[in-house]
Amino acid sequence: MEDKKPKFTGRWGFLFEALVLAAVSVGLAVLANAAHPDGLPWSPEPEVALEEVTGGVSVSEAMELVRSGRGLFLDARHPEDFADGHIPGALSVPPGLFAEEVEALLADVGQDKVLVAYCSNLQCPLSHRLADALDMIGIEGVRVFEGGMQEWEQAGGSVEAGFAQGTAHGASDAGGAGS
Amino acid sequence: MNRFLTALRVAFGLVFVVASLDKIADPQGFAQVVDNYRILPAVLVNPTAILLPWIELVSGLALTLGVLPRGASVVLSGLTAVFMAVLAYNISRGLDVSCGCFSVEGGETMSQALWRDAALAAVALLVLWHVFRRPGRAGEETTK
Repeated sequence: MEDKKPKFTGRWGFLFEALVLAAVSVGLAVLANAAHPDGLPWSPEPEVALEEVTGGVSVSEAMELVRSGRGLFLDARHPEDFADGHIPGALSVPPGLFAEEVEALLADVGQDKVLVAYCSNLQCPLSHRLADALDMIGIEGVRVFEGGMQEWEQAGGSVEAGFAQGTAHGASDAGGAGS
Repeated sequence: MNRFLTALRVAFGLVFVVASLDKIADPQGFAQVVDNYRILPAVLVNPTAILLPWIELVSGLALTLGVLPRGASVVLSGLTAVFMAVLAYNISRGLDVSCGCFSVEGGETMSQALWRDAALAAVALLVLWHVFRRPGRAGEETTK
């Protein structure tokens, strides 16, 4: 019995063993997923082609932008509202900031990020004002998540509270870029 | 010593068998767990949630039964290392999400899970040593 040959010999035999196990696992996983009543789709729903869309952002698109990290959300509400709860990773760009302050705030933002302004709900004007104000100082193509915080929370989006580093505490001066 | 190491090998395999069952039963829940870790891009979340539990189950069973023990011990040790890295990374950036290690429901904290995985890694090293010491023969109890 001492000379019984192992199935896969040699120094790298374990790699073949691992490959066999992986192949069996993949096969069973495919079958089991197909048979499971709550089986998962292999790829998530197709991503929205952002380049072609301008203007409004739906709540599902907003969630995808947060989840994938491709979006940068700009909270156009007052700092107190921002501190109470905002979309994770959002920057506070409250009304009343000067153009220079806004530019400084957005200086580090990568070109590939999709900028999305939002405020409280469908009725609030701050997000549109912020997008327009940014357009005036040369930051174009900022989109608006019109449903805002209300729709975000209704859809079960996660909420971050307090001030993270790098967000601006709103200056109260009138006449700034965001007002 | 040999018996002890064999028992360790069986136990190490069983840990992964047990860990896989709840994930296989609840793929949606496990996909949510994978997503919560905020590490993988969206396209890889579902494939990972579908495949990972089966890799755990198949390799766990193989190691427990002594089938292809070298491959199985390498796969499971690798998984242990990856899990530790992922836990440590999320702890380091302050993201305390549900571990989802043995159950898609929450329960333990990230650092508890990391300590448990460290103990598991120690077992993994012993099992690797045991299985690779006599190439191809470890785990073949029938050769006695």
